[in-house]
Amino acid sequence: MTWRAPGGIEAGAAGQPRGGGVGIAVRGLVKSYGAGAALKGVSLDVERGELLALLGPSGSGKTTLLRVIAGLEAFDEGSVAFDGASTAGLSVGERGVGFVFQHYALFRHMTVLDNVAYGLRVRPRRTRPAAAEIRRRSLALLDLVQLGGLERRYPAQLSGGQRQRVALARALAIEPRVLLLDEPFGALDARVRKDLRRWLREIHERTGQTTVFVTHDQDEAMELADRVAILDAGRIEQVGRPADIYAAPRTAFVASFVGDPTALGVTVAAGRVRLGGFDVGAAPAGVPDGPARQFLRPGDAALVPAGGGVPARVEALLWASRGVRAEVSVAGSARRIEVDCPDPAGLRAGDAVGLRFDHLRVYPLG
Amino acid sequence: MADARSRREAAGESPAVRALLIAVGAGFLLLFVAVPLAAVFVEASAKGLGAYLDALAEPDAQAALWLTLTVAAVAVPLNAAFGIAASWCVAKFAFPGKSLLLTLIDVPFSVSPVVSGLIYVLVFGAQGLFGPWLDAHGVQVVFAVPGIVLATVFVTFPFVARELIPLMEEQGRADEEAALTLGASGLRCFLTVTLPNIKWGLLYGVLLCNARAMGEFGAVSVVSGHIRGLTNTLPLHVEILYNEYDLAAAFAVASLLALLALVTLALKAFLEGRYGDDLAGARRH
Repeated sequence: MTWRAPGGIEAGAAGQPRGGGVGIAVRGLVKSYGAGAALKGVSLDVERGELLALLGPSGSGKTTLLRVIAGLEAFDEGSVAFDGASTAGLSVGERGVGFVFQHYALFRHMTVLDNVAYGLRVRPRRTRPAAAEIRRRSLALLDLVQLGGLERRYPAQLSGGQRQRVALARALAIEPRVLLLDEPFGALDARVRKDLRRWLREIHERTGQTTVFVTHDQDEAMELADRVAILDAGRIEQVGRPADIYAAPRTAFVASFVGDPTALGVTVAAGRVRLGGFDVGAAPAGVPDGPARQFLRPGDAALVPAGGGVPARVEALLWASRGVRAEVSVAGSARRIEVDCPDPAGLRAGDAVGLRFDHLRVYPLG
Repeated sequence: MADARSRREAAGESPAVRALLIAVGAGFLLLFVAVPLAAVFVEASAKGLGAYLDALAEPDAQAALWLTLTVAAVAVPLNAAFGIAASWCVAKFAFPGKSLLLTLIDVPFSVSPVVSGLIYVLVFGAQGLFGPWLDAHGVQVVFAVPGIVLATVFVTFPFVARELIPLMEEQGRADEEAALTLGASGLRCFLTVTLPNIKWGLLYGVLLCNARAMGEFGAVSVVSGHIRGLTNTLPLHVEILYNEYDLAAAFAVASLLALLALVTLALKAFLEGRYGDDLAGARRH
């Protein structure tokens, strides 16, 4: 096991002019064995200054991809280039990546200040700033992450959110070419997560750092990132702006992953979608006849008085911060469907209603 | 108050039963641990302080003391280095043969010390594998100091590794990876991140390793040859004195070893109390 990533063939990158706007270029990454999940031919461009989210379920390879970019993980085929220059043969330290680990990996025997200053202090004498300058820069970074005054604390004396911010300051201290964050908010409670999300967005706007972060939380990815890359089983399923992905999922996997949908088994026949024997509407273009899957988001259908739409039965009403949803069942379909229910007054479990399908997201099986 | 009472009821033992159990436990410890230990010191001083000091100042005893210290001074640093290297490999990397290495590390724990000693006689002795070659080059291993050192290294090998492996496994690789992404060299990373993370566990392992290195009898007895003033360590010296019915002297030298054990225990208890979180072994032993 070596810390040095194996060399890869650089697909035309050496001859390309710099300043094409691509901060990180990943080409044809294949990794078939090792500690993490496998990658099966991943290519991805991260624009310079962009904030990109790698989103996917656990085991999809998103963390592996991030670690390969950082040089922490070896791979079998493909290449990674920063600013048009191949990273082949560069050690982890030579790549200039700021990496924020899921559980922060702060040096527990060092103060906050020493943690942040570490990357500058380990530089060879030639490039190492003077001690006073290191201190000044570290303190300035602590101010940036809103931890001024805590420089003498030890990591154990900080809250989870504060540790996260120390980890970010430490990663920024080396003035990295790219900033990589592995599940940056995974270990924090919901409220701190939300605050830190907004705050990371602000930091990114101020520093303009090319940033990639890994998350399994689609809200986090959609809210924070300029673009989102969705991974499944070692492949990138779709890359795009959050609004585009949300509006037009390219594959069944993406459709199943965003928008909190209920997956329903349907049949397409003569261009019409049938659910449990009921016609629910016209099939989207390009879906062949036969069994298919429909991904129904809570806003894709509405409850109407019984007699209209597809006959359904209210099974339960679910109150949550996002509003009320009704859980309904349709005769002939085993799966209960979650539908937004903006006007729950007078509605009770057991009531017979109609279900009107406003938007059909149907994908062929397989 | 009601809470405390209900908890006691929940525990289900009446005060009388508890007192009895504690008395039995304390009595057992007193009879089998405290009394024999005290007896060592009582017997050692049976003929007065003068005889005690004479027994320690006697040239053969002095030689045994020096040999024991020398052996520990070689074996403990060696095993600290081996232990760190082995646990680093095992804890931070996945490689084929890892479980075999783990099993090998445990061999000295499962093999009788006498067998460990015999192995060295068979390998390095006059009739052994390398015996003739060593003899031809004028190197004597068995029945000499090198053999004693080797046997001690073998017997005490697992202590540091066994302490560090669970600790390092629990700590994972993230700290080291963080240091490397920040630009630290491998050595720098080891010195500034790995070593501080394991220092209390390492000290704990070294302590146990040292106690065993100084107290080892079986393996050393086989390879030593019992040459007075030359290849006798403290435990062997105690045995010789005892076999010669020089009880006061035997116990005087034994009291040194007992003292070493007590100091080790005190330090161990201190470390466990103070740095329990940083010691994987404190939860295991």
